[in-house]
Amino acid sequence: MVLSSFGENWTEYEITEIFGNPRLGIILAQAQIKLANVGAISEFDTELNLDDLRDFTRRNIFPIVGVERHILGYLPASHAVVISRVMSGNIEIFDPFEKEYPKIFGQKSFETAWQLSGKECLIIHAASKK
Amino acid sequence: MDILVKPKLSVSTAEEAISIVNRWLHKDVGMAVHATKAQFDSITFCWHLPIEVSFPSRGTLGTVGDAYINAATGEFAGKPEAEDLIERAEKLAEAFRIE
Repeated sequence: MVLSSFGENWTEYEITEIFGNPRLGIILAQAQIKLANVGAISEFDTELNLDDLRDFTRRNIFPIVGVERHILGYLPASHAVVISRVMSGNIEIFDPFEKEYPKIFGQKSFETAWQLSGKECLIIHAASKK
Repeated sequence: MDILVKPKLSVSTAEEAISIVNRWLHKDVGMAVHATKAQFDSITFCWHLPIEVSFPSRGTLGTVGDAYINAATGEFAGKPEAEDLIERAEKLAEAFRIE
């Protein structure tokens, strides 16, 4: 979803080639470096707020953020999810681990889950295959 | 006139302590390693946070270390080496057959 918004279709194999498949999970800050190596323009930030996320989604840029899942009603784990929409009081999230999506969570729960996970955010501004 | 001084803590809540530790873990170790709780020790003036290995598919597998945050300064008062945490977390994940 994040890359297809730029009109790019990447296969799962290509994505795995870029990020690898580390057992302990991808680190968002490192993901930014790996994306730069394949010609994508992205930024890693820990100072954004919900208004910033809303502004990005309105421009069809979908931020990838880290969340603590137990706050959202799942088993405990840190996890990266995609913000697809920020509405009044609610957040719409694409979680690659969930089959049924998008999921909608209350703003307060999401903010706590994001804050506890370090408030990390990866924004991909442009992506094109080299 | 006496001036009342109210000391300000850098890290006054458990949520802030968890956020600091998780930002470090996610940067230097991996997203599979995190802290979910913090307990304040009024004697050492530090937050104590157990570091756990967790996966979305399995939840928490176990504890692999502890971190301590000085509540006054916000600095780490103690933490394991990232390389040691990676080694312990990898072993635990392997024991649970996480691919």
